Amino acid sequence: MDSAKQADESKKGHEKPRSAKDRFGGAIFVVGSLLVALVAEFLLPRLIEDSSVRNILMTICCNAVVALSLNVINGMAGQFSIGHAGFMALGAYTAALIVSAMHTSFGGGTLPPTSFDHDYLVAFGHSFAIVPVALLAGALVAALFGLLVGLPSLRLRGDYLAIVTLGFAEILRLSVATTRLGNDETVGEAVHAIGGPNGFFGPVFHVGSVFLSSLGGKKGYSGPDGAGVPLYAGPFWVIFITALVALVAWRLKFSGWGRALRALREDEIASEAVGVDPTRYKVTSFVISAFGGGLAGALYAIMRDGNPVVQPDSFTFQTSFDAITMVIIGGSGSVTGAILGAVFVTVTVKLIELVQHADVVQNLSSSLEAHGFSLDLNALRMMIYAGVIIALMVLRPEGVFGEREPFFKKRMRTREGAPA
Amino acid sequence: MNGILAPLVTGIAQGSMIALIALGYSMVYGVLKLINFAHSEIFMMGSFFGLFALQHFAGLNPVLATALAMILAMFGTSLLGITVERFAYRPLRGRGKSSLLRITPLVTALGASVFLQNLAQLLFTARQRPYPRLFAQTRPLIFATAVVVMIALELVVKRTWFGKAMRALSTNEEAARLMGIRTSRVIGITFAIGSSLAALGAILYCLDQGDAYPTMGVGIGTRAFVAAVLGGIGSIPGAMLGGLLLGVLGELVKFSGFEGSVDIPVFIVLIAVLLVRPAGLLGSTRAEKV
Repeated sequence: MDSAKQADESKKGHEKPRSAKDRFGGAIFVVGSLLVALVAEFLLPRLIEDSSVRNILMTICCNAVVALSLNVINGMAGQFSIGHAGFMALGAYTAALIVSAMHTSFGGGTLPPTSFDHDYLVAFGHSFAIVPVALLAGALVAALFGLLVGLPSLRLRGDYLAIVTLGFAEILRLSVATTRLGNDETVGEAVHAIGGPNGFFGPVFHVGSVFLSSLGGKKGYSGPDGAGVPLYAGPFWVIFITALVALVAWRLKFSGWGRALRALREDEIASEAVGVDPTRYKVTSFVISAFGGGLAGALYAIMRDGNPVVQPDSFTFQTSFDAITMVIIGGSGSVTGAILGAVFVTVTVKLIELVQHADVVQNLSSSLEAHGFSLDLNALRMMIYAGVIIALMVLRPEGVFGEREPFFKKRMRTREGAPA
Repeated sequence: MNGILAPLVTGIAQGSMIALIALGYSMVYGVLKLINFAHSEIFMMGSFFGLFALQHFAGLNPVLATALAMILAMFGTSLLGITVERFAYRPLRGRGKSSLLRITPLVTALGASVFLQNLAQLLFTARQRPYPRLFAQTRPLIFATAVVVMIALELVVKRTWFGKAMRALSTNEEAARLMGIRTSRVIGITFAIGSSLAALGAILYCLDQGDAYPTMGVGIGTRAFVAAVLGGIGSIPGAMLGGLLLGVLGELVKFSGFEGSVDIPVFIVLIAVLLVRPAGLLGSTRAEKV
């Protein structure tokens, strides 16, 4: 671990208990994380030379946002969404498109390496115009789709939300991955038959399919000129946004809104009787969750030391399942639990990627393949996770921490003792 | 008009296989009110069991070999289905309906699905394994099997003691137990029947379409699941109807020259149906559920 990250965490640890008494706790936290993030922006590349290690740290932050946002709907609201990757994909593609466009309008070119020279500072200055717009746009597009998906399906029985979110995520991924233009720039003979680009319905399909096929299909979107999406979000943005999201998630949980949501989860009829409108609260929480998912996807797409290509394969069902694992292992409804779950899952995923490429494993794998088996460590990891999750649900359905917030015991007690 | 006939026939053949798998989803949902996400992986396992059996009986008469392979694969998947039920669903039963416990069965179902898929990945490797080409024409076999199975299942559910127990369980589990029905045993047998139908569908599918591979359950299983929801999850004729509709839809989409994946219209249909008629085409709150 690097000292900047530790400083960040210890700062949070010292600040939180005071913030319960201090009315300005939130503001102090924001300013504190702003400073930590600013220091990290300039020190992190110095302290950690290896960009793959920096990538792990940044991915942890992104996944924390993923887990925190999924926690709102899966943990606090007690619904079950299994298509969070769909919202991440929406955010990622939106952000990538916007960043690419704005980068071109700022003059284009490759982003300077992380040094203290003039070019770097100019790019850092530009990021203040580009990154907030891209992140906000990505999150808003995801939230809009969240509303479209959530409004009808949250009126139905709980399982239907699971199916619809899964279907939604798959439609998105497959549309981006498989849309190709055939004759007359249409996606099929049927569309061609109703008029192609010039007919009555044609133009709608035409614009849609031209746009979808411009996203690069299965290979992924790598900027307008194919040189890769300019990765503007340095450690400053990633750390600062993650801290903000954590603060918002914390505040949401202990707000009246969060309490209403938990009441709804415990007993829908009883809470309806005391004036909590189930559909409104469920849809709002779903939209917030989608917003967070879009934000995480956007951050993931433009994060420095990350992948400059936005690929549909990054947003498969496995991504959604990993997000669910983060929330469930940590404890559904717990903010700290979600963050710890994200750290745990990200670190194991990255470790396994490293180990899989080691020579010993490669040799063992090839010798096993001769016997008809395969040593796919990622498959083994997924199997173990699935086993752990089943065992957890059987033995301890509330997750490791349940709804508690470890490290923040004092606040929990005072808050829970307070009248609603 | 002649051109559209071929995709229609192919679609009905595809649809019958999808319907066989959809029945498993529907039966389990009828009894437990649980979406058994692991069912698609049981289908995948069934195709591997069938493949190994067919390889073992390679020298025999093709009809005999297929029949033996079907029986063995059905037996294998029944055991697997019972095991999944025993470890992932039974411990959760009778815990009441409070707070987070409502979504725990969905989580374990999902976990069981991921577990089986990755287990197959490890045991059988990710490569596609071709099925032997035993029959020049597989469609008569598919139609015959599907019709026989549907009639047999309808008879079991309507005419036998076990079917009565299943229907009782579906109406009210608590009351059924109080009336002396061994609910755990009935649920176990339901899983066994559903899983063996998945194996049957898997072997027919592979004889018709070709390869077995660990992720095959995702595509076909999802389509079967959509068929079950489309027809009205919990109803046997609904699963059949949903399967046929979906099979024909898939072939018509291909016929239209659509360049994208067939799963896109499949999911769009699913969401549209759920929005307009959440209980599915034949399902309703008062309909008799299996």
